[in-house]
Amino acid sequence: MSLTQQLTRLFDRWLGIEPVFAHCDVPCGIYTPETASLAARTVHTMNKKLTELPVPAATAPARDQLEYRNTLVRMVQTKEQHAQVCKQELLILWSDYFKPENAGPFSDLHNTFWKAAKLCSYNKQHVDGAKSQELIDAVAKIAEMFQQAEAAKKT
Amino acid sequence: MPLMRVYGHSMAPRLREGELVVVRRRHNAWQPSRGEIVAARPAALQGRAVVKRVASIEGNEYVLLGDDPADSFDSRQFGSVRRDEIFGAVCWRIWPLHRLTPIVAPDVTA
Repeated sequence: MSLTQQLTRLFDRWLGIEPVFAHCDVPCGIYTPETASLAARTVHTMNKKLTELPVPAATAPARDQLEYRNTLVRMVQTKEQHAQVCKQELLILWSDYFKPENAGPFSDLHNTFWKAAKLCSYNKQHVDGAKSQELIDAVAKIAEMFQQAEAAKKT
Repeated sequence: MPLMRVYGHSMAPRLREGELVVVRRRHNAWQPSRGEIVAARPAALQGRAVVKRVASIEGNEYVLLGDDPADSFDSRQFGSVRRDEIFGAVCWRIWPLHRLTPIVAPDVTA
């Protein structure tokens, strides 16, 4: 954000001037399913790592216990962050990229997005490799729709 | 009558990014007319205010569209809105000063 924009926002906040939006979330028109795909794969990787993380014995030294908890928390945090990124990216594609003009050929578009967004939420809450694989597959399906819509634009 | 700052380009050239508009809050019985530029808070956008033009009206459902459909997030995505989600009509542009003008709905029936 430029200095002028920052000053304008400060000025508006001071005077109680509210923003009113006349655009989409990505007015520059740049869309890609790659970010969602990468985030979904990260969620799956974290699930695998969490499942395989060796649990120290109850008699292990305090330092090992602490190190284990630290690693566990970091993995959970990364998983949740990327599930949220995935959801956000999918919602942008759903609400901004796909429009009646280019969504026509995809009869199950809304259901696919809805289920994928639900899977993001589920993966935030649980450690479940099968569900994170489902998320990867759902995002791949959306990426395929996206590629088809892009190809149709060029014909 | 609150002042609102326009962000985005979907209402260009009528309203441009950065312009300051006056939104006249209207009474409950007010019926926005087709072609009128209104400010609304569609439930689907969780409180975010949008400025759009009323494209069509069916009972209590209003279809709001941007003037530039290629750069607009509007009823095509968030659906039609109820009358109570439309909180006012854009009645003046007061900034920049050289574009100071009342905003009047065009006669779309002509």
